[in-house]
Amino acid sequence: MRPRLLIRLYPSRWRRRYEDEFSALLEHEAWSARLVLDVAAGALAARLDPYPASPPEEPAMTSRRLDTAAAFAATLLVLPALVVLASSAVRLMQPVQYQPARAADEIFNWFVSLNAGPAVLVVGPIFALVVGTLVVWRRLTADADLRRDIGAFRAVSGRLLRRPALVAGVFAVLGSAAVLAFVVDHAIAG
Amino acid sequence: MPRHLSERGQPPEPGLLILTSLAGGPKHGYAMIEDIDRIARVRLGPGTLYGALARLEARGLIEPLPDEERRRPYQLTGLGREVLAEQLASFQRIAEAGMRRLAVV
Repeated sequence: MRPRLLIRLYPSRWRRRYEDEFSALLEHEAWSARLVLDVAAGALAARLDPYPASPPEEPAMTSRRLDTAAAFAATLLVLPALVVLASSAVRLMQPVQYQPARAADEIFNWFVSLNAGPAVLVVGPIFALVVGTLVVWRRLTADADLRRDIGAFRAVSGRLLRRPALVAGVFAVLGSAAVLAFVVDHAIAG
Repeated sequence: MPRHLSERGQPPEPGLLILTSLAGGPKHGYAMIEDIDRIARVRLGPGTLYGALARLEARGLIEPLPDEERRRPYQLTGLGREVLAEQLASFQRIAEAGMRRLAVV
């Protein structure tokens, strides 16, 4: 934790190049005021120095922005289908004279009147699936930090799930909180 | 002890210490710190070490090797070897002249 905080003092271009090896080195060092001062001075120097140079990062930045734009476009393509399906589900859960079933029914009927079912429910999601898969694949192959973060997340999740007391305890807390919130809400609403 | 005798002067420039350490073969950061501590009795902090490493790498005097479990070794380049030899020869001339004048040798 402490090395992570110290390393965050460095500029991002420096961290991209040296973070891994530098944090491995910091793990060997004893915690002291001298160490903190040394690293802080190093971080200040790194912010003033042009090394490592940042120009090689620009193509990567452009690629990342393209991926971001494509991912948002894919989300927009699948969003109408999600809204329609959610409306369809909500209008079936209540009589349509009550909210939110009433609004959901209006949305659903408006969608039916458009005659755009195939485009919204089939073509859009297929495009979104292809584009989303491509973006995720490109990000995973281009970004070593992301792969490492996913690996760390899987390792942490695996460790947590191997503790049945913790899993059952969290489930009990969240489940009981949800039930009590529901009961209180109905008691207040009468 | 008088203050002027207790002060041993400025430690050598970190870049020179790193080049000298790498002259003995490729090393990663921690191995460099230990080696420099042994040969020069100077313990470089991690921030100082990596500041100097970045500058030496940018000048083409050292180069990184593939990393080994998050520890990346560095080695001297041909240019780094030449520059180190020149600097050490220069220091040697100065040291010999100084020692002669002090009549230490």
